[in-house]
Amino acid sequence: MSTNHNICETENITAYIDGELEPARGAALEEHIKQCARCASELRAQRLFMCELDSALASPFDPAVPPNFAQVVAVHAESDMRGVRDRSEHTRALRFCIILGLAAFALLGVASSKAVILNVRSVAGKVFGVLGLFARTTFDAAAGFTVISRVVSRGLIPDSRLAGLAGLFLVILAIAVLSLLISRYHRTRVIE
Amino acid sequence: MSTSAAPGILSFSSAADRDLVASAAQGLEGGFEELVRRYQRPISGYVYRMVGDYEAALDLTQEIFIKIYGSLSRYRPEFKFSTWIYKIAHNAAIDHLRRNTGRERSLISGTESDNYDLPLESEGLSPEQQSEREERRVEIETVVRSLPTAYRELVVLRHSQDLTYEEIVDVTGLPLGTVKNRLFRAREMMRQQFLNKGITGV
Repeated sequence: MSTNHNICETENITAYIDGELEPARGAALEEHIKQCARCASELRAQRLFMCELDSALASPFDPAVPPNFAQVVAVHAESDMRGVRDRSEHTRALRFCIILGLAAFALLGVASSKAVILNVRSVAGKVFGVLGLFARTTFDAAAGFTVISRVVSRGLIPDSRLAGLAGLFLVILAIAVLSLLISRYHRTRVIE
Repeated sequence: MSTSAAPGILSFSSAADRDLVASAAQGLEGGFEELVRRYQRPISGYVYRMVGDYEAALDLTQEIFIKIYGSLSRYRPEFKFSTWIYKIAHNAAIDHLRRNTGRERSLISGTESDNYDLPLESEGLSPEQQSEREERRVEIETVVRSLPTAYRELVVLRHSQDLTYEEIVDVTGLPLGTVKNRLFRAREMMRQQFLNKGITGV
């Protein structure tokens, strides 16, 4: 009796219509319905209701999709490569990427080092060129001054050994007087 | 060129889902397109009834198929393919609803006129039958829409996509008892709504 009471619950009736009630319970429900007008009526009502649901929500009433939907979706999906390849392919691709990255880095390094060396060489060449020009200019100026002073001194001082000695004496005298003047100047500064 | 393509199309159209999955996973052209062609209506129908917007349903369906394509290498042939893709569609639809909680509210309070914008295909019926059937269908669709998501998804999977309780368990991840109980409650809620609307015969 208690079995019959449990079996005629609406939940079991709907499961029976869905074909999801265990065979033994299904058989018990069928037996019960033969004797119970209320459950038989409930079964008919539920069956009609589910029929309505099935027909209203059935696939012919699924929304239509655009004519080329499958083609468009397949193209989009196939162009999106995420997740399609297995792990070994991912690892291989990663290795290739690392090798290519290192090669690119090395090539860039060589190229950049060449560029740096060329730049340094060019700057050094310019610096040495300027220094060389300055040295040559100084040397030429000194040589020119020497030539001019020699020409001038020949014109003013007669070419004799006595005059040379006199000139040397005057130079020594000038140097001595100059050093004397300098020492005196320093001495007066200390006294002050 | 066309003579060589025709046998390929024919062989794809008659191939089993598993073979199509294998060919698509190997990168063979046409296999995945045939899978999309087979499941585009059921998946878009399921998604439409879950999200309640035709354009959004089409976008989400495309997204789902792209996800399916990306997960083909993880598909195990011992599982039914249709159940597997419904699971992906279910997760995507639930994620979409979570992201658009405001949209969910408007879906529940949506008007019946929303249904008439939907491009539908119904053939072999007289205009009167079509009109009557359409009217009843719209009533039922509206009632289904008004259900909470947790109940609506089960009703759609059972009555629209014709999945068994076990398949619904696989798709939703819910225990069998919960599926049975929620389906029962959902149907009771719908019947009550029909009674409230004065609709008899259901």
